[in-house]
Amino acid sequence: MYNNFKYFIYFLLLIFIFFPIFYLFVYALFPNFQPANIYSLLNYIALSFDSGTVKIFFETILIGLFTSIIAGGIGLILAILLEYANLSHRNFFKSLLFIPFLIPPYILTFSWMGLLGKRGTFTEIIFQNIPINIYNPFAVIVFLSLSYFPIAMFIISLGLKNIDSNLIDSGRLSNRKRVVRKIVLQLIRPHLLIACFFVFVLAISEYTVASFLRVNVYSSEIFAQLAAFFDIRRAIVFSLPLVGLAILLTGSIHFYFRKKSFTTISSSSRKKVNFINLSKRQKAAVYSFILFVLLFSLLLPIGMLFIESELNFFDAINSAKIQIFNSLLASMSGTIVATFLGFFTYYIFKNSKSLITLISFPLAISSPVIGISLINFYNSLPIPIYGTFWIIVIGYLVRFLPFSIFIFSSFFPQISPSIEESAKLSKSSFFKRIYKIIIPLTKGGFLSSFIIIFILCFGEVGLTQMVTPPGFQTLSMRIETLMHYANYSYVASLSLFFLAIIFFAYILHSWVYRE
Amino acid sequence: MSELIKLENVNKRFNGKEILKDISFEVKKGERFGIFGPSGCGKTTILRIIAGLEKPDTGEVFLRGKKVSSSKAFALPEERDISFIFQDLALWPHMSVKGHLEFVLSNWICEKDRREKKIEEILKAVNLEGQANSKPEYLSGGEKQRLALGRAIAQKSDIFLLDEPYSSFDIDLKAEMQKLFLSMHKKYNLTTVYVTHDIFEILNFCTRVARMENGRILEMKKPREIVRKYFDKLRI
Repeated sequence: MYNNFKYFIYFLLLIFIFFPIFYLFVYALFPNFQPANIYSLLNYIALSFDSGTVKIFFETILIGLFTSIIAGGIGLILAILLEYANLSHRNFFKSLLFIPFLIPPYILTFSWMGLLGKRGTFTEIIFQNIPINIYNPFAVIVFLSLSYFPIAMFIISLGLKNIDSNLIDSGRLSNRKRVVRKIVLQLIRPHLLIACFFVFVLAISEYTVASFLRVNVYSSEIFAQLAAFFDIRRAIVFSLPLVGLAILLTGSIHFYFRKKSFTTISSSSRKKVNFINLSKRQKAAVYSFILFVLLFSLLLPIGMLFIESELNFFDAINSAKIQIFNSLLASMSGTIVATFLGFFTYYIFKNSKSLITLISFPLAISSPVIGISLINFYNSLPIPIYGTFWIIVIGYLVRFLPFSIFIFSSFFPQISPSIEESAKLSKSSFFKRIYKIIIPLTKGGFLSSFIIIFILCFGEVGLTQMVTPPGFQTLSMRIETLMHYANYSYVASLSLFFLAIIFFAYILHSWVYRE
Repeated sequence: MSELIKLENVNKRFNGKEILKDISFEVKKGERFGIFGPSGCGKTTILRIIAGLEKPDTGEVFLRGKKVSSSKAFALPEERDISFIFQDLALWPHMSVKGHLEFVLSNWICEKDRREKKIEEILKAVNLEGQANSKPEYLSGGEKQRLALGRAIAQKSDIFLLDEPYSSFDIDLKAEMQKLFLSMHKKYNLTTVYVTHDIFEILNFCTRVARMENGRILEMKKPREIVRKYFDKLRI
């Protein structure tokens, strides 16, 4: 039974994740399944990649790199301070500092544009004589860093939690000053790398922030080929460098993790250690830093949304009832599918070296490429999936499955293998073991996955815009459309409603976790 | 057929390191067979191979006269009908004492009334009547051990594998648990393979012992002979 089920999961992963990407290559090289004339193909590629496009590609890579360095750096500092320093209310700060990740980057950028952008009344009133220009790649890096540092902090915190406290204690006894540099940083290198990888991939996928700030990025070039010029073949050819990049990144990650532990550094001793003893002055500096980060990533943007909304909540919500329902339906469906497939994928691959590839490959594929590959693949199938609601659900599955697997990867190691082995020996069937033993013991993972993936699906806009069928619109798409019509009051009101739903899910998650 | 367990030339390697070398022995019905040796000598791997939790690289394993592991055939753990008491006991943290027994009994007793009766009987046998609704985290070390024993009994298997089950206990609790297990052994007519590195447990519990070192069985004798030789070796 287990083997049959394992092959079924292999089949699902192949058909949903790997095959559409593989088909993208095939379609680009062999249009209509005929071997393309190699010269005409090369000419086509050479014509497509003019110097401007190549420049945009490398600029996008640079934006991704700088964002991952800045967000990774902020995340690392906050994670170490909140894990090891003698600060009070650390869990509260951790929860609060994760919230900026729940705010979609385009909402954060929209509110900052209200403050410092050309339409920004504040720019006119307060910064009248100071030339502030936020329409440049540097601003894109800053806003993306403000959105993504929490995910880096979260991943690094997981690594810190898994460090055997005896290793730190022995370091403290021998050389207290070098514990962070020589022990902690060395042990969390895998998590730091994964954190930067997550941020890099999210940053190069994200094009709404860049388009708001009128910066050309590679993902928006792909989107433009599809949405503006209806040129699917060129969009596919444009996707190839990103697929190549994904394969390169996945290969590097796989190579790096061959001999390294990804989920747990050590589990023998997990007691909390507070070895960074800050003086009163140092504590004040740390609290100021936390407040500074919160101010720019959370408080100011939300405050701006309130000001710009002109309290038009009811009218705005009334005008978007269908989109709210669509968003809830698509997000919930995507969440359920991604969570269950994530659970079974982790369960089957938990002892396999392929697990890291399974997490990193779909994650490394940026959302426009996922969009193109899904459109290309399901468009050519006789099954009516393209043009229906289900293509969005599949899109969410491909995009967010790695997150679900990653969440389960921090819950499964807490179950001793003998717990399942004893159930096996009691002659229980595979499904009985899953239902009665494994699911109840990983219910925390299910809860986290349900809520975090729901939040991610609910905020997704790039992929949704590409694959969505005619006549179907989600709330995030509605907000983006209103933005183009310059209806800022409705955009701000709907964004606040949007954030209210996301915060509700997050508070529910924190509350159940405390229980 | 008097031997219930039989291993023939079993070999096992992990990451290129030889863990078991040419292991062969048989355990007769009703025997309390001990495997004694230092940590890391491969004792637990033998139990896991018997239970089907590991596959041997070469060699054969027979249970109740039937081949269950060989280069061609391999019976899954759930098909072997074996009770295993793990070193960490492997209790299910989300289930009550009664839930543990219910989970195992539901595999072979369909009627609820009969199952309830059986649960009561087992709880009485392992002195856990007052703790039926408690979860493992609220049980003492001895109670947890009795629950692991009760769960193993509920399986109705005649083969028991014990992997250093009392290693973390003090001497009084160890004696109490061994006494309880001996009574269960007699009552349910069990055949046991008992793994330990504690020479006194061997002396008190086993009828025959295999002494291991570096993945090999060095000798198989009566416990007293093994103990005598062992103490001679330790004497300075």
